[in-house]
Amino acid sequence: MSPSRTTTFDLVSRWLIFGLLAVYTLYNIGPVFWLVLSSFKSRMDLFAMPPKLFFTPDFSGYQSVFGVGAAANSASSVGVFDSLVNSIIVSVSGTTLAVAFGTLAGYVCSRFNFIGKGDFMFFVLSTRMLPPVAVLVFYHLMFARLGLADTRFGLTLVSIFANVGLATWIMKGFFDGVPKEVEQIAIVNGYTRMYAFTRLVLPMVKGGIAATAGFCFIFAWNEFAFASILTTTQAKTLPVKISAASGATGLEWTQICAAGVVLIIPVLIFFYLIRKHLLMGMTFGVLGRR
Amino acid sequence: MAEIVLKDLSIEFGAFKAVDKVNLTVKNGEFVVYLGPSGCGKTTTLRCIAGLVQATSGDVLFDGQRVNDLTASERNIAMVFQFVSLYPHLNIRENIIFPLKARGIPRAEIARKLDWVTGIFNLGDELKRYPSALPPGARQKVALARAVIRNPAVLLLDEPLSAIDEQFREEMRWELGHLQRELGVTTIYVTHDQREAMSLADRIVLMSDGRIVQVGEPDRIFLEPENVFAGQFIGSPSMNLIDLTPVDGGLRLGGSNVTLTPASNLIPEWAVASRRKLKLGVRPLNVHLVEPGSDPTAFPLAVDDVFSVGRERFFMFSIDGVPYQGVDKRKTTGGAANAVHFVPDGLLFFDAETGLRVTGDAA
Repeated sequence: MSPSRTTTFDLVSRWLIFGLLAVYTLYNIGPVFWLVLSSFKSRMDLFAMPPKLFFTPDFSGYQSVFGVGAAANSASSVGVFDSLVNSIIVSVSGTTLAVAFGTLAGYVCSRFNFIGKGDFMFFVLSTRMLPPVAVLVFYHLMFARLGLADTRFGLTLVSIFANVGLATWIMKGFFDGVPKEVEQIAIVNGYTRMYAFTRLVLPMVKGGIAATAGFCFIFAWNEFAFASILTTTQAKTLPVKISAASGATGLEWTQICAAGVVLIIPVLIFFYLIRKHLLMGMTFGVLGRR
Repeated sequence: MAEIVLKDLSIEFGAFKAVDKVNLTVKNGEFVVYLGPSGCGKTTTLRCIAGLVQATSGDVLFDGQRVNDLTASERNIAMVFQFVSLYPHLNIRENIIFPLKARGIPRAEIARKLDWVTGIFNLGDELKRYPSALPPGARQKVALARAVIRNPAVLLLDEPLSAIDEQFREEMRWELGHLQRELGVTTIYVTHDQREAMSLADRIVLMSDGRIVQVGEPDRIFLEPENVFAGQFIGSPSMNLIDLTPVDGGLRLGGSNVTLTPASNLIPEWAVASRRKLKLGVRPLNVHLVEPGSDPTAFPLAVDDVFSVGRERFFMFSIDGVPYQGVDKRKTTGGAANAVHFVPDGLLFFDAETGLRVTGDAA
């Protein structure tokens, strides 16, 4: 084969790969693009045929999502703002507590041996294998009796339950990557184990904590199954609200699209912030040195 | 500084006996190297002396005081581990003074000690940097500096050099030996590298399967190993071990047709007279391939291979399919006829059953 033919072949395959990737990218970006575009359209522009690429932007969707301006108080507002607040409170507090408990539990599972540790670790993991639908009815009944139904507190509890197992496993992986000599040197020198844990080991796994928090936050933020069953009016989170955002005049597509965009943004920000630690988190820390 | 005594020390993990009734005295200021293969109990012993592992039975004494019930921090010891365990979020200075901070030592005193220790290890320029900016060898220096800064009574080193590049390791080994003599601190050093042990130790403690095989100066263990294990573990390349079968007037080398006799091969009379099954231990440097006829004690033996290692040339031979090594002392290679000669002083005899070394006195 002559060099020039090799070059032609390379060129063709390269363009082919570019072409396929471009199609794949469009396939993925398309809906998001449509979503962003629609969130700025008035009802008239939304249903225009053929679809409009250029139009006068209408911010009423965002106004009602963030609870500002005239649109927020109009009859057509479906109260997305309240559900945004609910989502933030439930996700942030649920993530914080799940990561806090998971960090402590992960450290214990990494450093100490106790009877039934293997079974315990499997049980912890199994809480994530469980399809939420399987226990929804039970949760519904329990929450109704305990007065937790349709409360942010109740949803936060669910969020912790759902994520603490994952957090424990990921954090155990990160702690396994910290040599136990780190604590032993400290203990030999007269420091307490608590000092070693809080001042030496924790700073060494802060990247791991960030990655774990990222995962837990995204799971909590996107959680739909529990929130849709356990809330009715007060504690509805954003994903649940979007699924049925009907106002006085039917489905409010502009508001739904604006809420969808708002739903995406924190996830993007979070992934951007923790991108360095993501690979490690996805491999449960096993790529770290042991 | 302290004298360390281990008295019938046993450490068990469930049914596994990691250390089995070990007795040892480490003199004040002595440099003792624990040597043995992985899992022989040497690190466990070290950690027990440190107070990080509890003894199942037996005692650890520091200067005659039983320390079993003292915590690691009450024993005035310092440790350095195989994997550099510096704190990545503290700079070199903070890492080094870490042990002093716990004790509430005044600032002026800390500054003085820091000066002293950075002087020894030549770390003055690195104090503001962070561990990740230093090569592994320099990091281990920092770990050593951190260990000695508070004048511990005992310095415990767990394979401190094994994670460092070969080149830097030599230098560190030399510095470590020098430092230990200068400080005069009682030091216990764990390694599986016999060359490290030979070059550093005042005495070597050779361990296998939780028991002490032999304790002694490096030369003594090399020249007078107490059993087959000690003979083969120490020395590189490893000692040749050949079965000897008693025959009339001599000892036959394995299944070969070579019979060694006191008259022609200078092997000791008692070894032949005992008429027991023995194993011959002979280090490669005591097996010489020579020109036929140049040495009257030499005997013919087939040579499998000859290879050069820089200045020296080695040769391979085999008996009963087992490969052995020796030194090729011939001036030219490739001669058809070969003769092999054992250096008489370098012959060690082991009981074929027990593996223990036998000498003329015992036989």
